[in-house]
Amino acid sequence: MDTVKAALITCSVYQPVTGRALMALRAVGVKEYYIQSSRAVVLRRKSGFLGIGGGIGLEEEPADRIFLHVPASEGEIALRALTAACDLNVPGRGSAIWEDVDIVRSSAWEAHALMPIEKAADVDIQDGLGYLTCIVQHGRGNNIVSAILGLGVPMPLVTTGEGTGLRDKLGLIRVALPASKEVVHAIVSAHEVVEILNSVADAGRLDRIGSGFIYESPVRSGAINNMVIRGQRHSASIEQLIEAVDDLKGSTNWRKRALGGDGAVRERSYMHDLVNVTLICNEGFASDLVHAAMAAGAGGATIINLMHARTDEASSPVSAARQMTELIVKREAVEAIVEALTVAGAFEEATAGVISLRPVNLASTH
Amino acid sequence: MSKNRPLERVKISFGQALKMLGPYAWSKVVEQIKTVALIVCYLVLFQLLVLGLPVADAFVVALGIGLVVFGLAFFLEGLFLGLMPLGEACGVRLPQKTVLPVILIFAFILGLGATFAEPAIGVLRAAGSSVAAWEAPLLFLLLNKLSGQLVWAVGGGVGVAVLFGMLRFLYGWSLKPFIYILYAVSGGVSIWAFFDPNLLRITGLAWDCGAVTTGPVTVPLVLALGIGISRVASKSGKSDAGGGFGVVTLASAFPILAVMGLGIIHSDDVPNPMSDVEFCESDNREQAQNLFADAHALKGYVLRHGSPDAHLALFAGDPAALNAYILKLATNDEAKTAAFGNTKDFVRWLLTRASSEHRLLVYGSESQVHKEIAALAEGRAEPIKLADLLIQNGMGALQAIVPLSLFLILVLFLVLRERIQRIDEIILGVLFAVIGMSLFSLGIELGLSRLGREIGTNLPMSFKVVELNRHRQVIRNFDPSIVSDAITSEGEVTQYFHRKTSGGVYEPLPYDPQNYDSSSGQYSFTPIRGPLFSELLGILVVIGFGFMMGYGATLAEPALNALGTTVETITVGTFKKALLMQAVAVGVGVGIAFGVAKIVFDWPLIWMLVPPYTVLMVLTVISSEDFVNIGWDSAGVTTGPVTVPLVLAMGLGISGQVESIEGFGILALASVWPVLAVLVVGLGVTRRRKAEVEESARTAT
Repeated sequence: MDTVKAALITCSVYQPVTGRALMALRAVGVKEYYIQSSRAVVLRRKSGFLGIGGGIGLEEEPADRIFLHVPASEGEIALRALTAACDLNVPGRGSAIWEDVDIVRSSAWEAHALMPIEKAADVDIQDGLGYLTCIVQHGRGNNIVSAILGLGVPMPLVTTGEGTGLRDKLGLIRVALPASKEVVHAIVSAHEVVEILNSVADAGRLDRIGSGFIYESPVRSGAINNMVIRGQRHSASIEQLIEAVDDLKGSTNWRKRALGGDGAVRERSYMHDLVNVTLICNEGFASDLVHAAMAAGAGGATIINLMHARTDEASSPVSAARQMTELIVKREAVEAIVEALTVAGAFEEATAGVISLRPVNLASTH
Repeated sequence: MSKNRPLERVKISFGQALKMLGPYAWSKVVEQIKTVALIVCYLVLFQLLVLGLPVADAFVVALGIGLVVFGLAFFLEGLFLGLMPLGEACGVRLPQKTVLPVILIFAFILGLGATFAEPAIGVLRAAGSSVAAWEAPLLFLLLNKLSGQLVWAVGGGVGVAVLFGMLRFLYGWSLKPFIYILYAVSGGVSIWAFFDPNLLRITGLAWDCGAVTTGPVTVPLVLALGIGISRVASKSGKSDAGGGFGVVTLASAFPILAVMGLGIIHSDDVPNPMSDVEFCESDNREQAQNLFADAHALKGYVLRHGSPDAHLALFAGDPAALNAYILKLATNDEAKTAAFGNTKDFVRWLLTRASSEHRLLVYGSESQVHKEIAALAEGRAEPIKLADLLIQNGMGALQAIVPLSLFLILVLFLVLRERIQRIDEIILGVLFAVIGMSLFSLGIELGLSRLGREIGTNLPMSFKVVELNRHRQVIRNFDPSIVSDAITSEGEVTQYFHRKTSGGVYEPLPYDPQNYDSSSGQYSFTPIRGPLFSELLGILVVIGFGFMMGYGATLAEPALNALGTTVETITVGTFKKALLMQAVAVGVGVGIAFGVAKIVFDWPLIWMLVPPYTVLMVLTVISSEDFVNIGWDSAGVTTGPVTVPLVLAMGLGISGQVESIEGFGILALASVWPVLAVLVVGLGVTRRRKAEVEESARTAT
């Protein structure tokens, strides 16, 4: 299987900041990107009225999840440019990460060199991060988000999609099973991954069949949003203090915390050595391609709608309306599944498919 | 394309299927019970506790409400399973596979077809049945003889609206300039119309046409179509033109201009408003004739609705000519049908509204007249034929849904050459939508409309004396010798008699010699009630009722439900459906309250539209594109199959009691205030979000 090394840059920002992110991409010479509407959830400290109704509650804000593939050597340029343009080192703006991926060579993707921008050299980028993805039934996303925020993990993002799998194997009775899913994304410290996975799996009862799926992928580096609680009254926010200590210590490794202190969190076993086969194609083709993958041995997947945009006026078979699906499979099954997708027409002009592969460190067993 | 093997099916047992279907169906029904409960409880409690009247045909009303709940559950599920995916699939594929002219032709046909399919215009026609030809001639003409042209004008307006809607998405045009231009022109024309006595009266109709066009089938379809096109046409990855919203706004605005245009074209064909006697005089005959199909229809109308002086004026003041005409009608079925529409209506008019002299002229003797009246009274109470109503509503639902669905399927299949994914779900969805619409239309007719009509007629008793016409009674073989005298404390002599009710109670009733017909031996009277409160308080009660009814009915609207769900999905839950629905419901309540005030105080509609629309224009300028699209669209979806019958019934009832010429305009007012409400909410939300992001930057520096 012929692949090309690339960098997957994912930038999650609050909607008022999106315009700056898109300008940064143009400035460095990015030709195309994807954008997905999402909601960012934070905790907000409410003062209440005359002391009644105060406390901390969840607050949802519209956000955008922008992602793009660039050549592996250009990953840092894109990441720094986004971090600088959106002031991502400031708590409460957003996050950006860089993941290493392999793109199947037949994909509808062109590699371009990027131009670094000057002020991006001074931004702070961290390593030792992981990317958590949790897929649950529609309406249960905030349960997962609450658990994540409760662990001090900032700016979880929620997107929506449509599940495939068992539902597609039923007849018309499938209408009684809701297809809509919520996908929760969060950036976590690599050394806390297992504890966070255990806590989130507990909160979402993910050990029940059909209740959801969670997995974690490695992140090469990133700039993360440290804000967990809004509406604080300290002269220096908690996030600023944490950032200052990060600077002194030179990394986030000092941030060990006692997880599961309020109650015993069950240890779980997770699957290892998996691969995330991500398929992006023109809208309307994803369902058939997922069926092809499932026939080749993949489990179910969630299909997500995306918007694709180009920064130039060049014509392209890639439609503005795209769909993405992530298939978590065993490493030895990757080739067969990519082959099945190819036979099913993933790389035909009408489909304009892009298949990328990235490692999955841990995934739940259901 | 794909060459995959079909997926291996998983077989489940009947029991397992029932276990899956049960909770699914129950959750849908419970959701609709919650949306309908408020308006039903409110109407029933108001009738019982405030007006102090029992709910007539309570069992039928309860059955109707049950049908509304089940019907809405089926209909909404059908929308999301079948109609909306069809619309979205068309929207995604059209720009990719066809050229611009094809897209525009498709859009125009869809808009036109949707108007003919949905029965909302028929509701306005029914509302117009109370308009007197001589009081508002142009309005009468458009609602009766030219009702076909009216529907075409409205349909054309909606077609043009959908066409421009698609152009907006394809080229990324903002909705704001369209709003400024359309409503400025509509407002300007309405202000100009204020100075023409005929055009003044159609202003309310024009604005109400704009409000009712976008019904529970059209809205989800154009929404889904717009979302599909918007996704494909986007250049920056973000929706530049509202993300698929905004077509409903245009479909509410273009028909206003179309109807005003139609009125202007025909304004020279009709006489000015005048009294019924002047209307019937020979000098005005030619123009009066233009309002009807022929001379017979004109005469029949005047006989039914005009005063005795008007009847005479129709025959140049010659009683013999009038008598001869009535005799001719009595003996000629063709003439009866030409004048009254059918023979039964002539008989009913003769026995209930005609003079005793004419009755005697036709039937020859008083005993024969008595017999005919008795026969009419027995035949009056017709049982409700449920099967007929179900068939009628079922046909209406089929007409509203199937042609549009077939059109979309054919376009996908033949023009776009697309394989329709999950065709089984789509067919099921269309079936659910048809069943649902049949049931809830029937339920509205049996339940909510019936309740609304009753309350609408009785509502004015809050502030004035009201005749309970539904409870009009006739005493046969009345003997005037039982009448006695009574005296008031001011020394005024009045007369009364006692009646023994079916419950064995003796009740005194006022006697009015004018209600006694010596030729038939009948005494007819209409019980009166009210005023329940002082005039000011009573008017406030009525206005408050209007607010609550608008609020409650809006929450039950299926199109608003569909819009709210779509908004919540598109914004990934950041703009909650409940928030949108509450903002819109409050806005509609305020609008209807103002509409009631308009009828009670006979304020010109233009006074009540210009101020809120002016504020709305300012808010539109300063609001974000997303909220402008959603806010203006929410106005277009509010006035639907639940709100319109209730509001019109209330409007007709009040206008009839306060002797207002027409009750139009409430729907137009119910459309402007929800936009204000949503834009205000949107401004607050947008500013807070921007402030927080900027605050975080300031904190860091």
